[in-house]
Amino acid sequence: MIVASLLAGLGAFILFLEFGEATGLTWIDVFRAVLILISTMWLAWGAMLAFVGLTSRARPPEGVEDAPIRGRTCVLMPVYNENPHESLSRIAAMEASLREIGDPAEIHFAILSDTRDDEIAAQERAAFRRMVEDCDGVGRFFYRRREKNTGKKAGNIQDFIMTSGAAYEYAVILDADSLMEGETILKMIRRMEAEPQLGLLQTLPKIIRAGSHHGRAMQFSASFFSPVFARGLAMVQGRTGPFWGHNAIVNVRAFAQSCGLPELKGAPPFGGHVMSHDYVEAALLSRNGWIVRLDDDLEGSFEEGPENIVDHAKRDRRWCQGNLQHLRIIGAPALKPWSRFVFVQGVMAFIAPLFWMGFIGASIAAPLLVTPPDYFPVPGWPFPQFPQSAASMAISLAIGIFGLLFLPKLLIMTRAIVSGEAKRFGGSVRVVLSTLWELLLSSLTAPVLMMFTIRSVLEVLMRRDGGWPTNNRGDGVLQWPEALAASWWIIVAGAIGLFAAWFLTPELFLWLLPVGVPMMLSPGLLRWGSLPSRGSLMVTPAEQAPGRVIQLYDAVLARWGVDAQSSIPVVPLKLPEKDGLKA
Amino acid sequence: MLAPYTASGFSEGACALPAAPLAMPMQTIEPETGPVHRMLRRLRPGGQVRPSMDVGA
Repeated sequence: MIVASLLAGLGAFILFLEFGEATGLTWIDVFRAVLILISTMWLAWGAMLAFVGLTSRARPPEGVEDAPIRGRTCVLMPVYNENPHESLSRIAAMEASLREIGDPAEIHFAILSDTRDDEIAAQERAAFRRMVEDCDGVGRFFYRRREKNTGKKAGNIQDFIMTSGAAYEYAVILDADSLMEGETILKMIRRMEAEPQLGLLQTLPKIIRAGSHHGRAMQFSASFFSPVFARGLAMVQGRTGPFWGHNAIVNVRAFAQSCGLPELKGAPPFGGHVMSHDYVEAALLSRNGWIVRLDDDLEGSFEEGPENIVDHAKRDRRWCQGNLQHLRIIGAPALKPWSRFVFVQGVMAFIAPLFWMGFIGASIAAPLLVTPPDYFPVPGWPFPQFPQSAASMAISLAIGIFGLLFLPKLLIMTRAIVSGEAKRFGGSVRVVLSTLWELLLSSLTAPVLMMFTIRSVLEVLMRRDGGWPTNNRGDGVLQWPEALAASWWIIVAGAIGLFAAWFLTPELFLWLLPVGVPMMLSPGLLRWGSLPSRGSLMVTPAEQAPGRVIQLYDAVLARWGVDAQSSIPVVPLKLPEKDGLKA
Repeated sequence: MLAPYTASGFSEGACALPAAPLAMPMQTIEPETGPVHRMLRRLRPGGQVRPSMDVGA
């Protein structure tokens, strides 16, 4: 696959050079060809994952589904200033789900609080007490709050292991928005027991409960397209699989032996505590000979996603910093080659937009640097007239790049229709329309997200923190001033780009509109993306027929008097002071 | 509307994490130095290359 991606990139590189040579090769052609090489390789890698995913099938381990469970497991939910009513009601739902299918006695739950806000911490304790009462969970449910959140989430898990790790064979690591079916948790434990060398088992969480246009597009994409890409990833990575930080189970002793993370030398963003600790922990487990595996056949694993593009960009900002920090770790001793490649992939995911933007910028500025050939000899005619030999090459290049972008999703759609999988997503017609709608939306949001990513990378390289406008509304709706405050600079960048193209390379103006117009419309895209979606497209199986744990979650929220939409408790949770828990 | 919740029969001590410590040794996750530093370090001021291991041991 790496070779195929390299070949695709080299093919694009050579085509672009030959295309430039037809009118006299200049240094700017070579520069753009190198940018095309890198960008195409990255695109091809994603497409290859999809092709492998489309042509392979997950094989669940045989004979382990009903095996008796011997080891004790703790389900860990690290929380940090989260809405405790929501987070803990998820724990209550998972416990109820486990109770429905068997005896959960050997499965404990620990709320590992790193909450800094005392008021939220008081709510956490109140919600915890309600949960313990509700689930009759004394002796199985635990709560602790750290005085200092050293090492953030990785430090929080580490603190648990160093305090209580010896009491458990396995730990299911969650995020505050994770939700897992009891049956899925039991399957994960059984798979760990069946494979003693298995250090970590990752599931593929599907996004649920999205309500906005942007959120539902992400939800559909995660449910419809991601499983194929994940299948490809599972095939390619094999025993050196990924860890995404949550909705996974670890062998506690393997984790303790391998994953003690020191602080990196120097100050953040490249020094300090390891931000994206999950990739590093996966690499360290593999280094110590443990298997890290993605079992993408496991259903019943859920999470929630950002409801608007600003929250999406904020999350990407953290991930960007974390992934760029991995540049410090790529050379760590004795890592498996594949682990190093995963770090490279993570870095590429964030710097790739710089290459695309560099290509566009170089194309606009080319006339300032060299004398350009005239591809548009007919005034007012928008389609280029390349020399005969160059025209076919340029068209091949364009088709190739668009193919790598769109073909995987179109193939996934086709397979879903042929295999009958489309029924789970509302039927064939709806799947076709949803796919086309998703392609359109992702094409519109891509330039905006690309700009946010470029800003994130530049901020990290300049060792600066982001200055994102905050969005405190529970429903995630961005008001116009918030949308404008978050994206005015994108409008400026888009306007400068289009203005420069109009004067320097007017023949490219129309071709740059798909990038420039979404940038100019970015406040509208941000605002519209955050609004509630009432359309009948982008339907997912979890929306059509919610799994048992989702139903239980809704029931717990209702029982606790929490409004599921706003997450605000209808009735404040109050407790007599004498029952207070110490933080 | 639900009545305000009041806890009963709740024991604070029972909800503290079990004391069962497990050692978690710190791992080496950074190369000693980057490739450029390593190369420069191997070059003595006189231009001689320093061996990468103690051959006299």
